[in-house]
Amino acid sequence: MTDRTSSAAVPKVSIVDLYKSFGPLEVLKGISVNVNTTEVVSLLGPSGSGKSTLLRCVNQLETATRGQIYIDGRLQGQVERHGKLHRLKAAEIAKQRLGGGMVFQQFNLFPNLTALENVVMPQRIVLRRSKSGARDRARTALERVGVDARADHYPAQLSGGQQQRVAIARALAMDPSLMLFDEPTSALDPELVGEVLSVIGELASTGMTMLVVTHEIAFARDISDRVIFIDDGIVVEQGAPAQVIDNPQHDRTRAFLKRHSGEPSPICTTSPTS
Amino acid sequence: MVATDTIDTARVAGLPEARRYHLGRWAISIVVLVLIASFIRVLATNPNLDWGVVGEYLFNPTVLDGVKNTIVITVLAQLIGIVGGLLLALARLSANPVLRVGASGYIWLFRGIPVLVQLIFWFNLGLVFPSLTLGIPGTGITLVDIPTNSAITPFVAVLLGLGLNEMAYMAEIIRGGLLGVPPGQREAAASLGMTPLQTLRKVTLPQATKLIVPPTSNQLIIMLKISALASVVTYQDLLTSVQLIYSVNLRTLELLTVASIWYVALTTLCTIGQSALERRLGKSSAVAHHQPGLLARLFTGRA
Repeated sequence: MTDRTSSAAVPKVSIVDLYKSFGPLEVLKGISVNVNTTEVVSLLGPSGSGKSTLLRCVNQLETATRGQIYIDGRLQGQVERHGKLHRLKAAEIAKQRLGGGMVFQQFNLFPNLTALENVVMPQRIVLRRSKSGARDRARTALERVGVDARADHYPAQLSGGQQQRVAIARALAMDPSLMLFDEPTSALDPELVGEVLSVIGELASTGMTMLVVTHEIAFARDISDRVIFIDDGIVVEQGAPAQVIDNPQHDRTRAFLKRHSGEPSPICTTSPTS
Repeated sequence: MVATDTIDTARVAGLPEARRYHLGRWAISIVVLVLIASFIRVLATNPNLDWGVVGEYLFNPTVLDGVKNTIVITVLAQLIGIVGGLLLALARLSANPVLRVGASGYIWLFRGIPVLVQLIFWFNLGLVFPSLTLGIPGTGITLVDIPTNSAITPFVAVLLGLGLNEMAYMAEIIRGGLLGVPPGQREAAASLGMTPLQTLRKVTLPQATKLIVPPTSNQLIIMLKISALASVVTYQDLLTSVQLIYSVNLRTLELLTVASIWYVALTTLCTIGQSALERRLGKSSAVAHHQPGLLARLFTGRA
């Protein structure tokens, strides 16, 4: 697989035959997935199927055992020199991560900073934005996710839903061209899930390229251009949401969906796709 | 099982609450107060302890010199401990196995040897290495060559002895603080494009500080008092100063009382500083913890 830099058809994300083991435990067993620019792709699958690990590999929080990931045609985490692949240094990996924002299950806001400071600090440190520039950008981002009124509160003073929306604003303020969501509503009380999903749904409709790991089947059907079902470290099936969710071809997909059926969509997004 | 309708719930709800008398609490308080009072009486009325002499020497220039030297050595040795301890803690958490083993070895060695032995060792370094030489290995070029005894003054011996020993303890405190920050914090920082160094400076250390400050204040207070060991290597700290005076006038008890008053006063200052710092660091916690007041903290026995 060579570095494909030709313009038009370059996928935003290209995952090529990815393997990942934790000690003797093989979590990813050869996954190949492309995500095109502005495409919204949901990763579904049972717990422990490897979907979160796949997402963490895309953002280089995990290092794949084998296989490559390209973003905008650029090889991630490695560089080819004299016919060999060399691992990049931590600072170079940090630079590569800039294109992609990530939202975690546990929010991971910085508890010693207010909501506003959480969004301002990374812009100042990483992008070296001016104080006023970073604050303006942070205000816009917090407004977009609807928590601007609580900008001066510390994370411990915010509900889970508000914390997750601040985390989304923090990622957005870095102006990423790709957003990764790792079970963004799994740690939330049921009544707070809707407010976070509607923010993510709104983001999907604005043409942001997104890779979403979720257990909210109805939500995935609403926002996704494509759904990928992963089980036991491999892609079992993929396709349009209507095809995979409403008419699954594989027994494993059917069994999974049966267990998760009967849950109504917590929100009614104005879906760009269906 | 008792059904609610067999109880006259309205009557029970209307009953007043009885007063509690806390008899045990009163009894213990009286015993403690009597003990404190007799202790103060024994001290105040003992004919062998002349309080006039205590007052006379409390602000004696030699004593004040000792106070100043004790403060200098405490602050500098603790600074060496904190900075060196941070480097040791980072080495212990590093991916490089040589650094990890080296730092563990340092901590093992320095925690294993009594600090008094270390002090005497540094003071007598000249017996092992008569001169200190700094050169470029393999070239024969010598940059510095001085006799050890002129380099290791009592001040340097105390600073090395207390500072290097403190590094080992601070390393463990700081490592504990760094490990107390959830790994999700580092991941969030990484996902925002921060380098490991930026993450340490802006995310991990500020949060670890909250965990590091209380045990470090404790270490500072311990340092204040073990600095009295400096008297064995003739450095003129607070204890040495009063020893110099009572070796002449033989007012041993009075001068030790003078030293004790100063040690308690300095410890009090440290405690006040600690509470102020902890209040500042605690402002991001939404739930206001019930913190005992200053007086309560002073008298509930921190080291």
